[in-house]
Amino acid sequence: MVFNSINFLYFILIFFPLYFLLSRKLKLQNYLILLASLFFYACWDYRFLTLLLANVCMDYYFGIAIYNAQDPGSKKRLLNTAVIMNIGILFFFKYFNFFIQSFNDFTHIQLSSLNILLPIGISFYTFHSLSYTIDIYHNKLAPTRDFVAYASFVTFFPQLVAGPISRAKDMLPKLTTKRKIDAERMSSGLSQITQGFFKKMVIADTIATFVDPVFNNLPMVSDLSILLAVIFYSFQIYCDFSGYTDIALGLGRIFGIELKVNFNRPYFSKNFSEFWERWHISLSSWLRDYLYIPLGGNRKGTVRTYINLFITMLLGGLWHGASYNFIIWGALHGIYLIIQRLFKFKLPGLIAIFITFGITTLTWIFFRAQTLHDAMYILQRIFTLHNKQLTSVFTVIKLFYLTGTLLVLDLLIVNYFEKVNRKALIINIVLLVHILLFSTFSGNSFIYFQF
Amino acid sequence: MLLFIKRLCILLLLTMVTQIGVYVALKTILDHKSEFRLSRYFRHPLHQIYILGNSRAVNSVNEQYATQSRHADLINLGFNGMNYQTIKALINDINAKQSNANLLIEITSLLEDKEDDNYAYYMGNSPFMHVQYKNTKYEYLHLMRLNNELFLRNIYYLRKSDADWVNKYTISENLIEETRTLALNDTTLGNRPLLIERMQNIVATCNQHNNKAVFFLAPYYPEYLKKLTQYPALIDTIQSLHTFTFHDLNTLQIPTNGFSDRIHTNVTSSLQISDYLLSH
Repeated sequence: MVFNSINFLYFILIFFPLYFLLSRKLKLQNYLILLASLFFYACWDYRFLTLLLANVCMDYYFGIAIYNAQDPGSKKRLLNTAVIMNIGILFFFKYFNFFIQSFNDFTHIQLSSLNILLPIGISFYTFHSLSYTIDIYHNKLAPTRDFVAYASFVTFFPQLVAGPISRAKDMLPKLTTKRKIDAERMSSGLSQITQGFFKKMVIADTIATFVDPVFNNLPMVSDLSILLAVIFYSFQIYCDFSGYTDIALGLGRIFGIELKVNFNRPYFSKNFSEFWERWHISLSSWLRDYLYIPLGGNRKGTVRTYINLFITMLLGGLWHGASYNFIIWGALHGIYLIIQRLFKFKLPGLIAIFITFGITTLTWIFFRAQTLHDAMYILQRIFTLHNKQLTSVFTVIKLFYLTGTLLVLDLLIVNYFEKVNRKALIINIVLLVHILLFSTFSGNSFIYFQF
Repeated sequence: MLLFIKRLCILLLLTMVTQIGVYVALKTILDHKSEFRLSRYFRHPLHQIYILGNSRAVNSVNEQYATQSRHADLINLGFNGMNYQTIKALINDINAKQSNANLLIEITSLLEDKEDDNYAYYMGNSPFMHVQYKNTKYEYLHLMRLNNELFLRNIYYLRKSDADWVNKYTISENLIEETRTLALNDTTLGNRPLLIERMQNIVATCNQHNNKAVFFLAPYYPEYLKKLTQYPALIDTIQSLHTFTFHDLNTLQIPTNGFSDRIHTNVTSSLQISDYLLSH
């Protein structure tokens, strides 16, 4: 059940009144959130519901056990067990076949792979749960004794399948204390949802109609088409993911459970560390707090800092999917961060933004291409640029217009949804008019659902 | 909560009103100014010759050449992927407005049944176009009628006419080579009974309004034509019925440089085809 589907509208039309009918009964409201979230997840694939519930139960009890353990050794053993079990499940479902295949390729031994389906959202809810147990171990958080509140935190449907990756210390208080819901905040949430649908249905899905056929038929399309597809893909993935996040955050606002900001106009970054402070913030801050800093961060000398940065970005790439392309994508970003620290470039604002965007765009090729060979082929084609024929002229003109509207949204009326006034109303109407006029209404899934 | 619902209702109401306003404004401007073929037709519907069909019809008949050099009163209403339902709607519209006209229809288009929302753009221009989209979202969300390629084309052709819209490219060596080795499971021309039934319906409708339906099969690249195993039987069937005025343009001996790909001719051959159709 994707946000941009008629089924989700029905789902919300049932959930919304029930939620507000129970506004004076926190416990019942949490039960409703949990039931609705499990139903939402079951609509994707009910077979993995037990896995999700097992994950919830496991970390709930590990949290209590770690907190209650008397000596540091027991605490550490329990934490290690929890981490190994969480990562083990994630590894089995997401990476097992990849490593078997890689092992076979390197050794020429033929180990058979398993027929495993990837449970949707597993990377996200595993990270939700992991932050809970790790924070309890570090005494940053006391475990909750309210199972329903904890389960609602892990499974909360707006963030369940594609984030943002929430921390228990931020989310649990919102689920265990009475929530403030007022018309201002709800209206603001509605505006943010409108912006999210605009980004997803108008920009990302329209770009997909151009980009997908190009990436699927590389030998058949012109070099110019490939170049444009690569550039537009940067905007597609941004609008797809940040559009999803806007909808999730907007829903959270309406229900009085505010989620953390996940994007802050990343393509206006002047360098790569700034980019990672603005792009998928919940993942990059998770990796910083639970991987980079435990590895030693920048506390163990320059060389170790670079190694830590590289490992963090490499694993960040691998988090996205079991493929060499994602590993290379992550590794490249690691290298950019190291180079930036090594040479400490200082370029004028606009030039720095342009260069950062350009390199980020080229790096997305590894993220989007189906194979490493395809990625190299694309790079070769866009740098030679022999064939400049363009067949989908009308689509390309439309895409230029739509990316222009994105610039207006991110530059001139940024975060307009924070205020509830006449200006916001007019912007909402303009965005809805654009949805009617340009949206593909194809019900395309969100790119990050596959992770 | 009530205040929020009130605001939500205001937003939806204002959006509905705005979308109708934007639709009326855009449509009025484009209907009056655009030089796109279908807009030109709905603005000035009366002609002697109409071309109907999919991209094969678009690329066969050169409207600019026919009107300027041959001084024919012709309009090419062909459009990429035009389906039978739209062709039927346009024929009904022409029949309702005009008599003693020639309607030239490319026959492979009559086997196109893929649903196409492009033509919702013109549902307000003709009751025959409207009927295709009755009781759909387009009835209520007016602006969605413009959410398609025809809207973009109408904007693109605000300053120039599309009468010269014919492929300019020549078939590539790669495609020629690929065609030679192509293994084709030919279903393109397979459904003969349906095609004949539709042709008969068109003839009957046109006869009622004293218009003449003329059918033609646009040329295929010869190597490709050889792979269309249903082609000879199709031609035999049509010619044996003696009820249709039909031209198989594959007999015109179009040279290789007259094709833009396997199934489309280009600007070079469009002159030859236009001459042939105008003189027959």
